Amino acid sequence: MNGVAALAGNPNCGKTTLFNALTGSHQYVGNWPGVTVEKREAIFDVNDAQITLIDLPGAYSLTPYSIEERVTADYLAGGEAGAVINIVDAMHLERSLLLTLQLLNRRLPVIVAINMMDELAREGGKIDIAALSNALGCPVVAISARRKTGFDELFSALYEKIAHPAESPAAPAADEDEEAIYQHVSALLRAAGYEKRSGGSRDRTGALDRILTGRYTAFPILLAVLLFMFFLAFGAPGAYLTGLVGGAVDRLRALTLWLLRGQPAWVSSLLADGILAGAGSVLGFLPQILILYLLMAVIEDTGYMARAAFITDRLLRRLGLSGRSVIPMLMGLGCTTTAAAAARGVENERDRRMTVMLTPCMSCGAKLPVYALMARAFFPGHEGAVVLSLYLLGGVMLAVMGACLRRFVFREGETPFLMELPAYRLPVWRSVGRRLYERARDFVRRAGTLIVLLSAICWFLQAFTPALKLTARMDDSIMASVGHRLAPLFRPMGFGSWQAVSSLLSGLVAKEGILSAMQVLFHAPGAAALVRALPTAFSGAAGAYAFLAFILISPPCVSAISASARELKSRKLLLSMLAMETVFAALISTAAYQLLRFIL
Amino acid sequence: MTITLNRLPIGQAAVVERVDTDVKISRRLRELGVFRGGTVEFVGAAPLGDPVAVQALDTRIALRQTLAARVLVRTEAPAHSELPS
Repeated sequence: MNGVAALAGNPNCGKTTLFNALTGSHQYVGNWPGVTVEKREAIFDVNDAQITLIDLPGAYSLTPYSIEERVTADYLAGGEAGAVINIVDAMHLERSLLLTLQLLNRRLPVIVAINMMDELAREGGKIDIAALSNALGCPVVAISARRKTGFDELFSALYEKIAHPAESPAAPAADEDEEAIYQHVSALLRAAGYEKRSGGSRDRTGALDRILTGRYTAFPILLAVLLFMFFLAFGAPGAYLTGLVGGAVDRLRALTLWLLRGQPAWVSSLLADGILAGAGSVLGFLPQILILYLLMAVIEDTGYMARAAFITDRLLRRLGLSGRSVIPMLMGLGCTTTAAAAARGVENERDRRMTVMLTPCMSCGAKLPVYALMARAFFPGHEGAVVLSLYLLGGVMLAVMGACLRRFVFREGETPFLMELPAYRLPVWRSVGRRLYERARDFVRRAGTLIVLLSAICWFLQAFTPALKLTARMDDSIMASVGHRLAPLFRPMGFGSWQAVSSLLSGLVAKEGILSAMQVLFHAPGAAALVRALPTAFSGAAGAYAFLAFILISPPCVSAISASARELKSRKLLLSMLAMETVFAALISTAAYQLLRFIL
Repeated sequence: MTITLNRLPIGQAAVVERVDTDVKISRRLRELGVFRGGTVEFVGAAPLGDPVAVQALDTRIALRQTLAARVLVRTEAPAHSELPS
């Protein structure tokens, strides 16, 4: 016997914890058609029934307000589910039962699972389960998803629904669009003898909020949290793990070269310098991404993420975003690829996509060495001011591009900032670990394929001459010849030399690649030699500054592009992003050169 | 007396009298516990003055000042910030 059950409930009610506890590791993660909302399914056995459990996105209501809620409402309207497990929070029954009544009104086969019964009991509250079941006219079971209690009752209620499908009676509910529905809910709860003393948890949350969102403490704490995340992901710990991965890939490359000795040179070059180097660059991001995901999962589950959004909302509103985007945005200062991946934590689809499209304006860590070296070569004594001005220019571009996106791309879908600040809780580590594993697998699988392909193309451009002969001299490569052809286009920007343009092309692979390409192209090994050699390729300091502005604004590296593609899930938006970045890069660096040449 | 939700003194509870927004937003406010006849308590504003946090049905929710200004509430005792009569 087969059946489908759906899991529905408010956000923050422990739905995902219950899903993980019920299904263990046999999960399938995909996407709901047409949207970037995650769809989770799992199969498990109850007696002789094989049940497919579907985790629906968190919803306060079946009258959709967000994309996530529309997914839930549409799915339930489709009538596929033979049972709907409606998980409700024992501490917030008044509000949770609103959704329950809507489900019953639609004659869905509802089983109410009251979660966090342990918390209710600990705080000295109570509820008569049988009386509530009677009043609602549907099965009600008491569970704790965290402690895995009450599952036997849940399973037998589930089996009953699947094994004996029956038309569910209409709920004795009032019109759900009226305030009267709350009177109906209170009557139900009175009938069930619901009592709650939420003093303890409410006081804890209040006391923490006074510190974490306090006037003088909120921003120092947010800054400390961000610096800590930054340190772990991009500082010594992240760098150490990235080094380990890099070392392993290097050994693999050496092994490949050894195994392929005697084969044609292009074969070993493609495998070692193209594909393995590309795969290595993907895997190199993995430690950073995992560290960041871990920290994001913890701050999400504890309830701090909502507070970070609360205190920064005013700043991000000007960009047409809400406070939810603050953390991925700031992570963009470390790495655009990681930040685009971290944007998945932004609940609202429109905000998530805007965050992904704007993050490249935050100068990533790999651009900094280029800024620093060029500043040293062209602005001796003013390096700090030049680098700072570029970061500020990024901030200005963020505002300008944000305005453009709102005007032309995301004209609709802005929802007023209105969110729950959930009670502070300890994270459920099992659940955090699961998500971490899934996201790592997803990142490697999907980003990996695209990056490997793009790396192979870039390798081809760098390793072959226009006559398709393998070359070790980059000067003779297709990329250099493309640089020669494209150079005149960049003359109005003050860097119309083939070396400058070719190094920009290398920057598409990784922004770190700009400096190493320059060292090759200028025959200048080492920073000091490069500082001496660079002035020949740029029209003075103005041209150099325009070049840096171009690096800042133009499209990010291929791994960031593929991570963006993965989170945007829209070819049109991805192309809009790349077009916007290219156009603005050309405009701003032309303007910068034409203005600065008279000043500098 | 009747004032807007964002003008309530910190820690003051009041009864919601009217929610003056379009249907979609007033429905969402209702689902989060802010509805005519319900009790809300003003928790405080974010450090930069906006948004504000309120407590409704034992849940904390955050909303922007502009939206809070569209929620009219009735307090039992006059709020001390508006004493002159």
